[in-house]
Amino acid sequence: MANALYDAGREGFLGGTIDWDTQDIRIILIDAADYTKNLGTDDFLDDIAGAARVATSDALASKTITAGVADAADKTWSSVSGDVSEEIVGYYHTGTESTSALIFNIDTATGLPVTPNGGDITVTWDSGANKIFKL
Amino acid sequence: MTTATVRHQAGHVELIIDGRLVASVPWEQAQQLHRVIHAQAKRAEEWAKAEQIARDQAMLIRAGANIGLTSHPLIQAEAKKVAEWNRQLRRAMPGIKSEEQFGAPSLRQTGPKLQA
Repeated sequence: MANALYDAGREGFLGGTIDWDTQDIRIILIDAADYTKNLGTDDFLDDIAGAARVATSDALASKTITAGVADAADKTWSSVSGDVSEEIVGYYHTGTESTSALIFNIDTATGLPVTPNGGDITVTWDSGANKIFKL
Repeated sequence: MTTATVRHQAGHVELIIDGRLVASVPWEQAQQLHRVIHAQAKRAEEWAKAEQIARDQAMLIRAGANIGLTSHPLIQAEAKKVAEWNRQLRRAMPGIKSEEQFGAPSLRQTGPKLQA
């Protein structure tokens, strides 16, 4: 497919329930063998099976929203082991899976799929015009 | 069973129920009454069919068609809720294709840490 926003993410931005640069946004390394995404109906983190979550980050830092462009500091998952991972999912972390809204899904990136070897995995966001994504 | 008859008598409209005359109003008032009853009947019908109207409105919302089926705020609110949260509807009508743009991220993996 292609990198895309979840409907829930776009609704969150328009409805004012997701505030990119002030709220706790996290990313998850996903094993697509255990998760068949549906951008229109998957809305919260509880739509992604635990088995599909290979590694979950802490909060993204240095987030910005200038001109509708979402950006953040590069992120590292430490000492990652587990299944081959094909996707990255970004979500708004509330602490409760049933209210943590899914925001974006990246399945096309240099280095994907990645086979964890126990070392760190760092995602470097694009430094061009679109950064992570542009609304 | 009650039988009601409406007839006119000269310049008046008469309402007869079970053979008894219960109302006799001038024709101007009868026409005004007709308009009021018609309007109230339409509002009552809208409320009776609120659930169906909300579902239909929700489909239009997901289709991106800016057409309002009702001006009732409660039914509009229900339609918005259905459009946003009804899973079957969201699956059947995924919505307008998004125009967002993504950058090109890259992943880099380091070797596993050696145990001391």
